[in-house]
Parts: sequence; structure tokens; C-alpha cells
Amino acid sequence: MKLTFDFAHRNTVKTRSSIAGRPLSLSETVTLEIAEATTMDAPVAVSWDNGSQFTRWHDGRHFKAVEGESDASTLLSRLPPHSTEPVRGFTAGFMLYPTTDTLHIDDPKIEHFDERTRQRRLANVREWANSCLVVDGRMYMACAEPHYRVYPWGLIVATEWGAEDNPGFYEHRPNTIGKGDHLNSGSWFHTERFNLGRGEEAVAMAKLWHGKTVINPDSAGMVDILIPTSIGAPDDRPVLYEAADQLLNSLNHIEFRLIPPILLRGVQPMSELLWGREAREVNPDHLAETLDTARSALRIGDPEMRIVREPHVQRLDEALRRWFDAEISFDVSPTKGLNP
Amino acid sequence: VKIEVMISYEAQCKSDRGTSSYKGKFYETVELEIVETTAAAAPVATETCQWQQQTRWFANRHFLPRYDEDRRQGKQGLTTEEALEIIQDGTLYALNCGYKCFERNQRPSFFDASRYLEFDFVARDQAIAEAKLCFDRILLIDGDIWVECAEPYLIREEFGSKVCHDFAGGGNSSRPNHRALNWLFHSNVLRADDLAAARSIRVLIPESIALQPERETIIDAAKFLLEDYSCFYLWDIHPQVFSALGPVQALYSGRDRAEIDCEALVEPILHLLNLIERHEDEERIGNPFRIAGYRKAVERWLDRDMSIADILPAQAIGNGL
Repeated sequence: MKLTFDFAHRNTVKTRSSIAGRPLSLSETVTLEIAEATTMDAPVAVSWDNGSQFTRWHDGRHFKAVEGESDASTLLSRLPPHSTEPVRGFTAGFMLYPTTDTLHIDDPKIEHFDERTRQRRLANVREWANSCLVVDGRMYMACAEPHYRVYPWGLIVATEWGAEDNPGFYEHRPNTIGKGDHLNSGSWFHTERFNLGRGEEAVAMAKLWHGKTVINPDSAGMVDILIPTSIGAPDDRPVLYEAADQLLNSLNHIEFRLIPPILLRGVQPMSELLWGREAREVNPDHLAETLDTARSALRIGDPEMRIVREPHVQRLDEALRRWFDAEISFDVSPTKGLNP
Repeated sequence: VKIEVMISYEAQCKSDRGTSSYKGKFYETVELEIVETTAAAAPVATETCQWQQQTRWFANRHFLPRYDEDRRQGKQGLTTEEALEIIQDGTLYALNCGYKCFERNQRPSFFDASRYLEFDFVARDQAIAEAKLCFDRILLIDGDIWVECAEPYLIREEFGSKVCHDFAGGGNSSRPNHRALNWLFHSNVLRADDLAAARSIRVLIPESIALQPERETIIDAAKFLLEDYSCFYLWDIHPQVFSALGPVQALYSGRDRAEIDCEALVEPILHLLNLIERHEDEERIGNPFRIAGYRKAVERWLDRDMSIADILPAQAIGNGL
């Protein structure tokens, strides 16, 4: 399905009448292609909650119906120029809509604007079109592979990706969750998420962390996996980096003189490893070792969990457990065969 | 004299009627004691030459008077009974300023232990201890109100020097006779019996002067070095600086000012300063004037006047010495 509409973005614009660049919104016309599929092409991959929730499998990705109003023609009729506000859960977070004070990009008043910003916003709009799918008159958006999430009230099946930062309410993209520092509520943290099929670990964590007794969703048949090949993306979640990050963050909240000396010594190798590097550049084996050192120091230096709070300690424990308990594969054959 | 004052505090509690715990505001009256004495028992210890401000010496502590303006002008002011009556459920001469237990909460309820299933008694004990501390610092000398102060010292400032009686950094700085501890505060402080202070302070009881500004200065240096790195993301501290911070922190943290080993602090601080100078690219911390200030603080400790008793072991000094 081809769509042509005007989208807007904020940019630093120098107009004829202004002395210097100032933030303005610019609009331009884009023509985008939205994928359409039949129910045969996009079959249901995973369903849960007695079939009321499901994802469809298309083009190697999971898609989930837009929450609330999901009728495709209704949603598309709310694209510009018929509306001035992005639709939360559909276009919000990907683009802005032109309003009365928006300048068109070809306006002769404009002398200069930042081209790189414009390219980034254009990429966002293309990403939006790429993540839409219309099946049988309903609108679907791309989502993460369904997984278990342990949260204070038990266990649910979740399909969100972690967002890089914490966007505002109206910039919230569908199927993402912001990275907040809240201990209990809606924040993204990898250690509380488990791939489907690792139900007993999730049950054990719900018992240990929140004292909730939940039945094993795998054995109870809570989740119906209709396309087994759609499940089982490699589990390379950055648990160690997140654990290191939040450990140093929680130490940062208290005064330096109040940190027990033993804890400071325990954290020092990790700080040395991470100094001047991006978290992803660090060798995870080294990081795990230093994190383990920091954890033993934490047990001695802060046994009452006053400095690093209990949820943070639990996340640290879980991150290290996952790292050290990871199944080691002795299969040395290359995944791709050699060229004949 | 005994006095009943009203204190209020916030405490986490769980009522027998509700289901969840909440933070409640409470008030109650506690009976405290204000020590009374006479002018003969509390002799004048020091006086400032310019303003004729006297401190009196009682129970090894200095006290400064707190009068109202009428008294100061020689007119009839409040009598002792009137003053105490005002203090009972109000504030007078800012005597209980800076003590949180005397701040008024909105709509506090009377504390009654039988009405709560769970109660945070730690918060209550802290409030009572704070009230005790406040009234422990008040002394009645012949019916006049005197408040504890630090021993007088001279602060050298850019355009002169002045006498000060305030505790620096002893809790809340808005308490009577308290002040905030500025950066390397003690590096500009001189003892009351110093020669340079002789024109400003007259010391009548020599044993009441015990301040060691050299010692306080090097402790200040350690304190503010650690404070520099307090608002710092730990990933961003250079590894060598981090490892040098460890010994300083270990000597400083969890100790009173009185029990810090200053001689041991010298080497770690100098080592840390060298590494900061070499590696720190944060302008706030690596500022050369700042580092020079810390170096001076250490030098002041090293250049202090020492008596033979400080160098020799205790056994070597005979009883006759």
C-alpha cells in the first residue's frame, strides 16, 4: 500500500527574518510503502492469554496488533493532514505532524537548516513504515520476540524492546519500554526477562524476588507456540553492562566518604576496566570477574543493603548467575558451511 | 530547672484501624533539664578586646550570652520565668533554630503508643535526642540565658581578621553559634592564644584553649578531596586516581574528627594530589589553585610547632617532665 503524506520534524532553521537559527518545525512530503499480507503469509506465531493476545510472523519478525483502535483504515485516516497530533501507539515517537506554524521545506523564507537532523528524522519515518503491517484490515506493528517478564505482581508475557532513554509520554513508541531507574514499576531491565521455554527460571525468580508463587507457564500451556522457528533468538542481552551501570549508579547517590572502604576497593577493578571505554567494548569475561569481586565486597561492606538496595543486588545476582550458568556449547562446527 | 517542651517528628507507622503503613506526623511533650549555675562557678574564660564579648567556662565548655535587645541596652527585659515560658512552646532568641524536632508540622497528632501496631521508634528517639542536645547546650547563669559556643579563634580574611565563636560544620549551620564549614575553612584559622590574635582576644583561662588548627586543616583537606569526587560518576575517575583515593578514604571514613590519624594522612594525600595534577582533566577538580590549597593545608600540618611530648614515646617522658 502506497501512502503519500506530509510529516513534520523539529529543526534549527535560519529564516530570512531571523538573526540566527531557531527551532522551528519543517514539513515535507514523503511517499512510503506499507506492507500488506494475507493471514496465510503472516500466520499467528505465538498466542497467550487464551488466544486473546498473539503475534504474527512475517518477514522474519514478530508483529502485534495496535492496542486499542486497530482498524487499519481508521488509523491511516488519522495521518496528516486530517490530524495535527501523532497517534500514541501508532505514529508517536516516529514523527511529528504539521501544524499551523509549520513551514514547508521549500518555503522561500528558509535560508538554512540542519540537513543531518532532517536525514535522521526521515530515517525514523521510514522505520515507522517498515514496522507497519496490514493483515486482514487490521494494523500490526513490529514487536520483540515474546518473552516472560517477572514483575512484582507475578509473571506476564511481554513483547517490548528496551528504549535507549526514557521518552516522554507523547514520544513513546509502540512496543518499547523506557529505561527508568524505578525499582518496581515499568522500567526496562534485562535480568527480569526470560526467553520462552525458560519458564522454571522465571517461576523461581518470581518466588525469590517478589515472594509470588506462580505456576510454570511452560507446563501449564499458558503460551501457545504455533511457529517454533520464530522463537529462540540468541540470548545476548547486555545484562552485565546494565548490572555494572546500575551498581556504580547507586554508589554515586551517596557521598564518597560514606562508602565503606572495602566496597570502594571491590569496585575499583570494575571502574578501572570501564574507564574511558564504551560499555560494549569491554571484554564480558573481564567484566563478569570484576563484577563478581564487587559483589563479594558488597556482601561484606553493605550487608544490610543500605547503599545498594535489595532490587539492585538481586539484579546483580541474576546477571552474574546468567553469565556463569550459561550453557557452554562444545559444538565447534561452523554455523555456515564452507564454500564448495 | 526542668522544662517541658513540645517536639514533633515524622515516623512511619501502622495504625490499628488502617491496613497499610504510612508516614505520620506526631507531637508530644518531653521533660528536659536546663543546667543552672552562678557566675562564680562559671568564670570568664576569654573576652574579645573590641566588642567586650565574654565567654564563660563551665564544665569544660565555652558559653556566650543570649540577650534580647532591651537587656543589651540596660533596660528591663524578659525575666527568666517569662523567657522559659516562651521557650516551652515557641522560640526565643533563635535558641532552637536548626533543630528539626522544633519545627512545626502541619496537623500533627498526639503520640500514643497504644494506638499503633507498628511504629518507627528510631525516628522518635532521634527527635528526643535532638531536643536533649538543644537544651544541653543552654546554660542559665544567674538567671541569664547562655548558649554553648566554640572556643574563640581568629579568622584571617582578605582585608583583616576577626574573632569567631562558631562551631564550624557541627550539624545544621543555622543552629545558634554554628556556621557552615567552607572549603578548607580551618586553613585561615588561628588559635586564640596565638601571638597574632593577642590584639583581638584576651585569654583569661589558658587551659580552655585547645584548638589545633593545623590538625583541623589537614582533616579539612581530606574531607574536601573526598567531597570533590562525591558528585562524580565512578566510571569517570581515572583508575590511578581511584586507587589513590582508596587510602585517603579508608583513613577518613567512619571516624570522628578527633580520632583521625593525621600523620598517616600526609603521604596518601600528597600522592593523590600528584596523580590528580597529572591525570585529572575535570576543570573543577584539577584546578591548580585548588590543588595548591590542598598542598598548603598539608604543609601547615608538617610545619606545626611540636613539643617533645609529641615525638618521644609516652614511656620515655618521666613523671617529672
